[in-house]
Amino acid sequence: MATQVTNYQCPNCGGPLRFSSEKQVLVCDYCGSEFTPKQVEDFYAEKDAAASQALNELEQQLDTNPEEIKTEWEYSGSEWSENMRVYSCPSCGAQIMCDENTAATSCPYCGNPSIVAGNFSGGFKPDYCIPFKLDKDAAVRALKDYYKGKIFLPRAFTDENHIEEIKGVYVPFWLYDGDVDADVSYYATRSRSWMEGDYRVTRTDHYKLIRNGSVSFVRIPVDGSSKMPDDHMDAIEPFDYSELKPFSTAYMPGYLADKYDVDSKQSLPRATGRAQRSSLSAMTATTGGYDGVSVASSRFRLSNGRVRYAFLPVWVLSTKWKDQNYLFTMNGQTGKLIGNLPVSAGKFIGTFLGIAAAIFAVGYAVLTFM
Amino acid sequence: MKRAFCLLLAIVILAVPFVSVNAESEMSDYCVYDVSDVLETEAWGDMEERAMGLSLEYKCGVYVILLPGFEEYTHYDDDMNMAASDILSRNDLGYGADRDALLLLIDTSKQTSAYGATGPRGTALFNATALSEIDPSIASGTASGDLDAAISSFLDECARLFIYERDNGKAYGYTAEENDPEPVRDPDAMITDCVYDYAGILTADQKDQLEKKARYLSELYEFGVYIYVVNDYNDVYSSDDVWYACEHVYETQGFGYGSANRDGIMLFMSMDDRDFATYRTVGKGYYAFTDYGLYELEEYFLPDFRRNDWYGGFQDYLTYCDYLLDLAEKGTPLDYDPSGENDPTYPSGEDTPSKMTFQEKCIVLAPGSAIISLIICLIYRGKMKTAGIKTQANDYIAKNGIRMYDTRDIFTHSTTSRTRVHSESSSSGGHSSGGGHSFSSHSGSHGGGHSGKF
Repeated sequence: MATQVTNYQCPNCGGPLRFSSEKQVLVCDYCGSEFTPKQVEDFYAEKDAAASQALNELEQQLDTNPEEIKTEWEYSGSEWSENMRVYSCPSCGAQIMCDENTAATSCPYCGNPSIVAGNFSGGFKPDYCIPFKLDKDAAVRALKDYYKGKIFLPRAFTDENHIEEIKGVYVPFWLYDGDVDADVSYYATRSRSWMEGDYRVTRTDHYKLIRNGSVSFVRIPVDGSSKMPDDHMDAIEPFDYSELKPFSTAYMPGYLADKYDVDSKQSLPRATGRAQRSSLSAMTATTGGYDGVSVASSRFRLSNGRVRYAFLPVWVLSTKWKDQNYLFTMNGQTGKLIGNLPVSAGKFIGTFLGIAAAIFAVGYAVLTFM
Repeated sequence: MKRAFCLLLAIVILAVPFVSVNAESEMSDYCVYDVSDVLETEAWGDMEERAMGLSLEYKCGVYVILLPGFEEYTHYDDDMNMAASDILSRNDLGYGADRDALLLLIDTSKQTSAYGATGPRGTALFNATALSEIDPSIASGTASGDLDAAISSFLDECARLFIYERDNGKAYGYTAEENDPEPVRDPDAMITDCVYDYAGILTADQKDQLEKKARYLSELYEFGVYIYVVNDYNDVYSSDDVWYACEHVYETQGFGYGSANRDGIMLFMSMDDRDFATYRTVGKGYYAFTDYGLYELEEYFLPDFRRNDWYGGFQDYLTYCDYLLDLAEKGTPLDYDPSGENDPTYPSGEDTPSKMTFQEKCIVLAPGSAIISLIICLIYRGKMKTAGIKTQANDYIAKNGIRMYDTRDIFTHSTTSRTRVHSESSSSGGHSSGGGHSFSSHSGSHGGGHSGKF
């Protein structure tokens, strides 16, 4: 069983450090000291040397490439066969049992943030991460704002339901770069009509349109976690990549994190599908001026492909109402919150009838008095 | 103020049926109508003041109308000069009872201009000679976009023509023989023929018989009754609809009884495509030939024409005209409702809009209301479910990341289809009933009527 669990302790008092999304530094809750991720990394560099050495040896045994994620949509990493792992908390010594993919968590006994260093090293080391910019309070406020203006939301839902769990999670994402070479042909028609006696004559000119071009994409994100719903992860896009930072475990304390369990090869079809559809749209946008345009044939070819591994910040909020779970997710960087709300059938029907009656009344008045 | 007024005028001009200015007023409230909203407010005020001053001083309306596309305001969409006069007439612009008026019509979209005139003085002032010598800077100013200069030149020209008329006792360049091709009319008598057969479908004897009967009716009721037959109405007046050719013939041939109202009715037939049109003048024409009466008249003669019985059809036409005119003489025109609830006399010269019953309103409104309401509700419901898979990656296209290498549009072939149009008219209005006929309703500046097929 691996026991490579570490946590960052305050160099001043030994208390646990956590990453503050507001200040973008590591903060000690006991003595109030603040450290930048770089300061903490440097401080622990020497201390972690032995552990790093051990990890390097382990990676060599696993025959993984210690450098960055390979290009050409390839990613290689070792997969463990067992699902659960037991770690020893470096603060209190308690046994922590968690998922094999868990990379950052907190000790259920002493509450100190803990990092499973093995899940951040070697082939599992992310290239980038975007630190959390919004805290838990912002997520709660965003959820309450999300309820506003939802006229079909049952009143009891907002009154009775309580947030059961709020988690700040660094979700593993694959970021795909690449060019799509598109070769598309269309059938197009242009018609005009005129009257000849009792007959309406319509002349239709038929065209074949050829469009050949290429579209470059940068960092199409696809989440590499099977635990996170794909529709939620897609809907909270986009992230602001200008704030991407080289990965450091110093950003992790205080949040949860899992290493990827869907590899880049498995995620690739989702990225290529989106890229192809956008490429087709870009080609079709150049076919204006016709009455009708339909695709006759299309071919797409990927080139210059490259994939990067990144941890992106997501707040996960779950509520329960009438024995049904409702999940909401918020982009931890931009604050975009999404989720599906229950619809009150009574409110829906009442609103439908009310609007219909109002339109009917106005229409009736117009027809009567015009 | 100016913007609001121009908007109001646009609504008035677009309104169908047209809303007339009070005919009893000496002059309309404004002279410069900037529907295109291109004039500066100050410039508009100066022009308005000057045009109104000329109008009141010389007792002839001087108008400038700027439209963003004159075709939308008249059915003379291929003749801007005709459109100019038509717009004057439709909106009852002009001075005094004769509605004397001169108009500069500017199409700001095409940067073209045309002149129009109404009333005896207006048409005399804008005679062919005067128009041929009018300041060319008006047209050039319009074409170059210098509208202020063009309108100013127009007002100068109007002033010049007014002064010449005042000093010489007649309009510049006006001679009745040259400028009024229509015969001088005896105001109390019919001076034109009543039956015209340019298609040669009647024998000489038949034409004489019909002419005698039509003239007899015209004199008896002091109301012109006409028949006009051509092979192709487009030879007379090019238009999408035969009715406009019918109106054109009536208005340009000096038809009608009396000089004031030129009362009358005309049956126009275009034999090549078996088109027909009926036209009756406002006032007495609408009183005697109500919309219902006109429909009944057509029902009376159309069966003969469908059997190619031309002479029989024309006889029936004249017989039924006699019947309807007689009813009108007695004060009970066909479809006349003494209660006034469904007044068929149409004193304004326009068709009365049909009223829908409660059931008809429900049939129209209920599904529409339900569909609109459902769409609104579904939009709000969609906001309740925001999680969803993204299918495109447009957010991640690199800057200048779209490069086109080959863009070709290759013409391959053409196909042509012909579909018989079963509706016998363009159905801009009108109705049909079981065993009846279909027609389009039309109304013009001096009359209205129907068109259809036989």
